Amino acid sequence: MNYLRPPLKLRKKGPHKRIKKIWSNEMFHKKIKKKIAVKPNLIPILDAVFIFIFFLLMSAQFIKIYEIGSDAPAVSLVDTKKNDKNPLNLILQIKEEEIVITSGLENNVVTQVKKIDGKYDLETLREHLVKIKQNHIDEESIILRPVSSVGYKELVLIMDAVRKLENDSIMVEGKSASGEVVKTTKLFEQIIFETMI
Amino acid sequence: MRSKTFGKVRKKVGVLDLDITSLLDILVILLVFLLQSFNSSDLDVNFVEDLILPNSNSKDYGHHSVIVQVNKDKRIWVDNQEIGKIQNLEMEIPELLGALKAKKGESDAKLSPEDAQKASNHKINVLIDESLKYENVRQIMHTAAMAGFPAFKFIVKSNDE
Repeated sequence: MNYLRPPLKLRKKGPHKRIKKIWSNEMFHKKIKKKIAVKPNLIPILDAVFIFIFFLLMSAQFIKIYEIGSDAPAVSLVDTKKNDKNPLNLILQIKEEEIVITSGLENNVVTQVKKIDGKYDLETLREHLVKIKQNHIDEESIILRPVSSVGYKELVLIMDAVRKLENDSIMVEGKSASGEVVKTTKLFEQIIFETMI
Repeated sequence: MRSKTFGKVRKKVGVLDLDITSLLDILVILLVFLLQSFNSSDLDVNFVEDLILPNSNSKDYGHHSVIVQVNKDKRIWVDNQEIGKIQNLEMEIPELLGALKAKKGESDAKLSPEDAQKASNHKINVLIDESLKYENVRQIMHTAAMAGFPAFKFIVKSNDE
């Protein structure tokens, strides 16, 4: 601590008063450090976000569309391997008032699913198809034979019902031709419309 | 010697500091929204007028190929070009048959002879209005099969919307 003379301006005039003020070196050489907030550089992030947005805008689809596949019978993917067992030959005859499920080469009627309140009973249809699938777990194809007056909207709902189970957590279990136990949520995904060609 | 700048007050030009936090906020929200509607399939459809697709639970993504659209007035478009209308209940639609044969010729020219033989390379995306009957659907499918497109992909709308 040094006793130094205060600056000229601070010296009081008039009756002499000894200013006893301790001036220290630190007061003259003190640097007040201001804390400057460090701002992160957002420009690279902004650049990346802009590029992402352009890319996603080009590929955005605001109406979600999917596909349901089908084949003409002339080039169907039905398994044509020679088998001792009779082929399943599962056919869905979609009539105006009901759906008739037939199978086998002689088109034996398995069951008939009537309409309820003017709509096809898809739940009952699915239950019957699940039972058939359990006994023929390897079979993937189904033939649809709708009448001309069936609406396309209803036809799509029926195609949904025959392709897959509604709830993915429930599985169909059955024994394959090789003896393995197979679990699947798929029913009959290969849809073939009869009499195309 | 006196300094030339003695007495002059120099103003320091400060850098204009833009606050882009709010802009970045908006862009991130836009990014999240667009991520949600991101489509990983290569199928790009320009819907024609008066065409409402049926709803479906299907989750299979479509793929790029020839697109046939039929609206509620039975007007037909092939790859966004209107080619005619379903006039009657004849199994073959002549205008559609001609247009699809031309498309098949164009696509086969790009494929090798072996690939051109494969049916899997001759797919057709079919967008049909939900109000039409099966008889019209059958006409479209029959004509497409005669033109050399035996694999049909019915394009449907998701039930999730």
